[in-house]
Amino acid sequence: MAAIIAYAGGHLQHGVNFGRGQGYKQAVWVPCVTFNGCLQRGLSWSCGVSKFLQIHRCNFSQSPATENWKSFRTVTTSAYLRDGSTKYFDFAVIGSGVAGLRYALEVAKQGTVAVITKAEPHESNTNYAQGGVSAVLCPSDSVESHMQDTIVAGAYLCDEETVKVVCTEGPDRIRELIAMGASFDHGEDGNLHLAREGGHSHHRIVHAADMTGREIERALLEAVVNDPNIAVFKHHFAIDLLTYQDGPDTVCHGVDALNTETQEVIRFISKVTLLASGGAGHIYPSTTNPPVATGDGMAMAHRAQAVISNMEFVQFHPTALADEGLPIKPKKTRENAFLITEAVRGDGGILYNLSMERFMPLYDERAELAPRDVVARSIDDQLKKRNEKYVLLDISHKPREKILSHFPNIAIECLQHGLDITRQPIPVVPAAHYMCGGVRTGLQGETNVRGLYVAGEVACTGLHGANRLASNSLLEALVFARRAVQPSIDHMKSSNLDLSASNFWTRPDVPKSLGTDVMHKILRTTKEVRKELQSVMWKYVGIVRSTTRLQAAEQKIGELEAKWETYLFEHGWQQTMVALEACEMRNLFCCAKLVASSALARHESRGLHYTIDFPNLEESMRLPTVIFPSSHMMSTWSSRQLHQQPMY
Amino acid sequence: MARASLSRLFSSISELSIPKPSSNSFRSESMTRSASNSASRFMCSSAQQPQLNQEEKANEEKQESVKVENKEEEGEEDEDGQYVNKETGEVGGPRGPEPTRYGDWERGGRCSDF
Repeated sequence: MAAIIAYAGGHLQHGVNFGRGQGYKQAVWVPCVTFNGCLQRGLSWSCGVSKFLQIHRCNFSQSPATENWKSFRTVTTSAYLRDGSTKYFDFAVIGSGVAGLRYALEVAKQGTVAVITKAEPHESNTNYAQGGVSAVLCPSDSVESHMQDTIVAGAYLCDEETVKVVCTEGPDRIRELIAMGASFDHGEDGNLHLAREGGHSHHRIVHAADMTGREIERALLEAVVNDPNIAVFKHHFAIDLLTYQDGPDTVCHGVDALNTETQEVIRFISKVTLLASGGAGHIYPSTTNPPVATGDGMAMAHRAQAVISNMEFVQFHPTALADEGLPIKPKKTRENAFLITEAVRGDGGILYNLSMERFMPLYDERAELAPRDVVARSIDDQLKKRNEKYVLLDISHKPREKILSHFPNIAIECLQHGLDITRQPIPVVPAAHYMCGGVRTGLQGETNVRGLYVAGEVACTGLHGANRLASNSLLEALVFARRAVQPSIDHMKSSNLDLSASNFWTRPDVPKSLGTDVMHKILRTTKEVRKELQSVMWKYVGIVRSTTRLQAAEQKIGELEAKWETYLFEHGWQQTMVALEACEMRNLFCCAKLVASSALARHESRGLHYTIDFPNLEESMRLPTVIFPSSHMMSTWSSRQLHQQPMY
Repeated sequence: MARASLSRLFSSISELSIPKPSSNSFRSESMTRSASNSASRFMCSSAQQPQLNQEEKANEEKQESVKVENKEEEGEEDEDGQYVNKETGEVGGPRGPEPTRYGDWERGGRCSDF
């Protein structure tokens, strides 16, 4: 895939105005440069994607193709029509986490909504976000303080306007959630109880016991289910966005999906589409994410010509329980990681490699009490140097009673697998947790694809910068889901959608003709290929990176992708065929490549991205990494939309 | 630890009606501190005296859990039966030490947000 990366700094001319701690602003436009037949433009955060589109429209005249499109008979689609395999909605929402549901509830006041989700509706990263959601809700706290904490955590790569908007609007979003029925812990005085998490200088974490994400998900789902204008399509896997070229613009008019229960392809035609499909943890072998997080949205958006940003910033937790090191292995592969709290290190836990050498003092004088990111890097470095699968976290030198009273959950979990943490060290390995990067949005959740909006983890709004502040992700999802509402409604009202649009794109089909034997082979191979990809990502695009390793990653991923696609097509697979595992695999390949190439493009270390070839911060590099759509000349099956581009 | 005593431990743990924690079930983590303390006390005693039979173990565990509850009383139930944390005044919150005391959000050692 010819991914064009504009590391908007290096060789492009631009003026820059910024001050430390004030975020980044670009004063002037970057001139256009053609490269490999594609247009390459630098973008600044403050200029925004929508402004880019405005300038674009001024420079190009309407093409005849556009007029042909508009000459179709137009109908309003305030009521959705069903024709079995094609459904018409005003709004299509992909994903049923906090971002998708919050948005759906608002836009449902203006039109019909389809919520398309690949598993059960509650299966989302939101549901697993247990800690809380941050907002300024205390008189002694301030938006400025929340902003400052966010920007510091983000290693000064955050977009200041985005941070301001999110921190300012957060409190109202929380109040709305409460009005919708979400039940958060409160104090005896009746006020919300606010906790304080690492990185926050004030108490500002709103939570529901220790199941905040689940509580928010519950409240929103209940409202969605009771809304007559919202139809939820669960077990519908989104395959590709339905887009076409309107002159220089790419326009989105819905999405194809596979009903994984009936093996039927359903085409959703919509005036507006919100991508809220969450994260991509499963590009790595160890992740906290539920199995649904395979980067589907990022991949679909990239294939649909949307701009992707900051994919190199992957957040890992340093100490997930390593099943490999347990005496009794779990019967089936753990679906999401069991994270060992920092409290174990805080209470005196020591980290050893498998030769029982204490290694933290080699990396930081604070040893095990160094910040989490330092610990993560140190563990990663040890594992790569020694070619081992996990390290050991030992708390057994502490009094047995203290261990068992402070960490009963770890004790029980380990005991069930034959390990007594009061006597033996705990095997741990870093786990991928959150993607700070994603589909680039402006301040209204808009993308460079008309009619396509994004919110939640799949988006790169500029809030997180190079590293996410704790509990800011639920907040970002809430704020941007809300902000995308009005522009979506405006777009919906001005959109001309034709019923015959459903035939504009080739339909995907299910591989019935291949037979069960071949399908078995393909599924088995795909499963192995997934493991191999995850292994490559962990080994070559892990926490401590290097140019050599990243280049090796690109090569290996490319080879693996080619090998897998060849295998498919040799066994009779057709370009338009779809199956859940195959579609997830092509999305994982897409995301893996985006992460590797973004990491290669950043010639500095900042926040979550650390590379030994550029180990320091570079002020001149304090810019987002941006990936523009690529030409299709050298593309793979995984990097092209399934349907053919419409011919004029 | 011998398999025999491990299985005795597990059956005794289930007697305490603590849901078996699994990687997919976060609900199991909202067990009350007293129950989790009972489990930990039980594991303590059983590790030291693997020869005890079921009945004796259950009794011992009950005594221990009572001691534990009295010792580590950090809150109480209010009129609505909701747990109130004495130190922070938080209503309906998680029992036990502050989940964020080391920066991340943890319960019983398992981290769920950071």
